[in-house]
Amino acid sequence: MEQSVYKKEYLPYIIKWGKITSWISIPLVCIPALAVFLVYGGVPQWDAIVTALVGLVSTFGIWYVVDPMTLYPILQTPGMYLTYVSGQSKEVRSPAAICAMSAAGVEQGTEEASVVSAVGISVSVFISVLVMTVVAVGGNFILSILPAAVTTALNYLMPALFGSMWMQQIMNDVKSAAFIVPAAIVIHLLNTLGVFASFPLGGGYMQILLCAVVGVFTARFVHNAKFTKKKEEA
Amino acid sequence: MEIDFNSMANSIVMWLACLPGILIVLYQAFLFYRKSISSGLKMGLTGEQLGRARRSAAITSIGPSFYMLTAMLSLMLYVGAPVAWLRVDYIGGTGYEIQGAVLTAEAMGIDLMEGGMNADFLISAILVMTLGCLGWVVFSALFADKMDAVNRRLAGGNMAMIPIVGIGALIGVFSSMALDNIYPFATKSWAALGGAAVMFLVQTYNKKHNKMWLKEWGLSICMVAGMIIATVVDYL
Repeated sequence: MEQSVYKKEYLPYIIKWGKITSWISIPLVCIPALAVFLVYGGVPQWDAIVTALVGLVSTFGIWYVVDPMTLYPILQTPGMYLTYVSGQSKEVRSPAAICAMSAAGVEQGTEEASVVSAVGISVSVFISVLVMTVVAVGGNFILSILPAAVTTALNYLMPALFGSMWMQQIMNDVKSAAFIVPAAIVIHLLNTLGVFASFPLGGGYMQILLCAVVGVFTARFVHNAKFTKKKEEA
Repeated sequence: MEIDFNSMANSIVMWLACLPGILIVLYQAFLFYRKSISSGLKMGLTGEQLGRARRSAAITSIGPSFYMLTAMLSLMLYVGAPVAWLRVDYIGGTGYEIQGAVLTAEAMGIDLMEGGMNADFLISAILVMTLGCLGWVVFSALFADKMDAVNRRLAGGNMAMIPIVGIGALIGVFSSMALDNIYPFATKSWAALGGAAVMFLVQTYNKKHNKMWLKEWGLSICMVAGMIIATVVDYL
């Protein structure tokens, strides 16, 4: 019964509207360019656009795939549609989804979690659009009234957030983390030594991808042993 | 010339042109929110659980949204407030947006610090930033509904394993993101380590006491604690 609501009613609706809104959004975000062309007579400089796009896509292009793949366990299908229209996947959407799941007391990866994560992410979209609107209208004023200590502290916001979420995930599965974290340290050291630099597009994505793969296989190995042990005991 | 650019980039025309993009983001979130609440209730989640989810997500989103503040202000100088507003709300990522504007300016021989931006630059920068981010939209529009199959395969076909391998993957992913901020060692490393240490304390405490408010506020508390620790270290 519970499954049928999720699979028969919820997901089809989400997939249908997720696809519709994603595709419709593409022409809509091109309107500003059209406005500059029609109202101000701006002419696209295609040679510059291609040069800049090549630079941009060769740095960020691989993240079109790596980002959704690595964050899927948090975002799930509904959250993916939301996140890859609104952006800020690691910085705003994942923390909101994780906190929503933890506050609702649902286990990551279940159908209930997928629904709760969508609630969390959609709420975070309302909040961040609101904050960004305030900043766009009054950003310079806000910055001028903030004490210097606060602007310095803002630089540490993301490192502090990532550190906190790191520990939060570690404590969800300390046994697997006992192997994953040391492995991640080795992978990170290899990355800083430039070992992955020979991979296509500079290999900047290799670290997070390898860490995720190690995470998946470690968790499988650690908990498979537990499953089989339980079977034997039974 | 520069005044012209600023009044053009910040004109009411540009605000209106950027509005539809923002509205579709909000509309999608509204549809998903409404459906998730109604289906969640049918699936046996309680109104209280969903209320807690909503509250904690709202609390947690405020802090991180502000990290865009400084980058957003540079972006506003380059392309005007309305375009910056749309850019951070539609597949926004600070590093990416600014790099898009900078690369366009470089390719056109414009120095963003000295001005000299014009309508040609504005339309080109908008196109670069917009086209460059569509990869994410297209990927999720095509594959979001198929990712579940990938997930199931990673779990070895065992449904009970899906949450377990998910957590394993996330420990790996967040290890990678945290370590990027820890080594090579700098002041920001204190923020990451401080946040992690406070999270350890919060989680350990809450395993015994299971305080709801701490589940809702925990991540924000740890984030602010990490920021304060690093700022104090900075001033020492």
